[in-house]
Amino acid sequence: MYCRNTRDEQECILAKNEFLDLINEISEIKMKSTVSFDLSHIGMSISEAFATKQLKETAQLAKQHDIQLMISMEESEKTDQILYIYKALSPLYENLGITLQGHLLRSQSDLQDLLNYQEKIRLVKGAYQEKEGTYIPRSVELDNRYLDFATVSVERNHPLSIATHDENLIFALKERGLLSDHFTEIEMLDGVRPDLLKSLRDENLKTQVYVTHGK
Amino acid sequence: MYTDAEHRVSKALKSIARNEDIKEYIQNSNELFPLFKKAAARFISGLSRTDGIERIPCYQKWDIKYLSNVLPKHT
Repeated sequence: MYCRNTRDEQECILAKNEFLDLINEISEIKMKSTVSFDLSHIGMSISEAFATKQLKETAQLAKQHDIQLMISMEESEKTDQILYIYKALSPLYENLGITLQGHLLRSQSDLQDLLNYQEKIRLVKGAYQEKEGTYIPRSVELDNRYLDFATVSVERNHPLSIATHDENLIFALKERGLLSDHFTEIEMLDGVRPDLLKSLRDENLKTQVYVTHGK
Repeated sequence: MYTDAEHRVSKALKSIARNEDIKEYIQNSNELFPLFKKAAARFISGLSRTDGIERIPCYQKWDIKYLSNVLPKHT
């Protein structure tokens, strides 16, 4: 099993190969799909150049099969590096999306920056433990911030994935009419709220389930 | 809908997941690690790629799109 933040080149290549196999297998199923991954899983801790090379290979195969790739976010000390790689490859691969963590203070300006790129933004609240003063803890303030970020994105007609299981937040987004936008989808982890996800789909909203595997 | 008790347990687990010190303690505990691993299995579709892909038809019938990920060790 592969590790995040690994500096072992062989391990990173094995991890990338696992993603290539996953893309090949998913492509056989006629269903709109996305594959998500951490850049530190495929070599960012070795070098940006190595991770970029690995990502290019993965993005190219995904593009051939009309599969989207979604870059996950990690601890905030890696955000600059992740965004740098994303921005470098974004013009080459229209199937490449990026995650944004709503709880980080810096995300306000990152959002403005990312809206200049065409690919999908996956908006999460953020789960990593961060340094005091760099993030907003779980609170009404964070929920309002999440709503504001989603509003800005929808107003720009930017492809957006609402990745949260927070039912109150989802209802607030719905009330504002932000979920019925053609560019917006709601994403939930497999097994957490399948009932809610199905009911949203029954309302004809775009939905996506996040399925993970690993040891 | 979840009960208040389930909400409290969920909140406690999320809090633990965000605390690296507690997480490390659990990973090194022979008693707690298997217990938490079992609980985590609810949110992980399986150990292998095949386990994950086998979940597709459950959502395909509802016309829900599919997003897949390989979890690195001890995520």
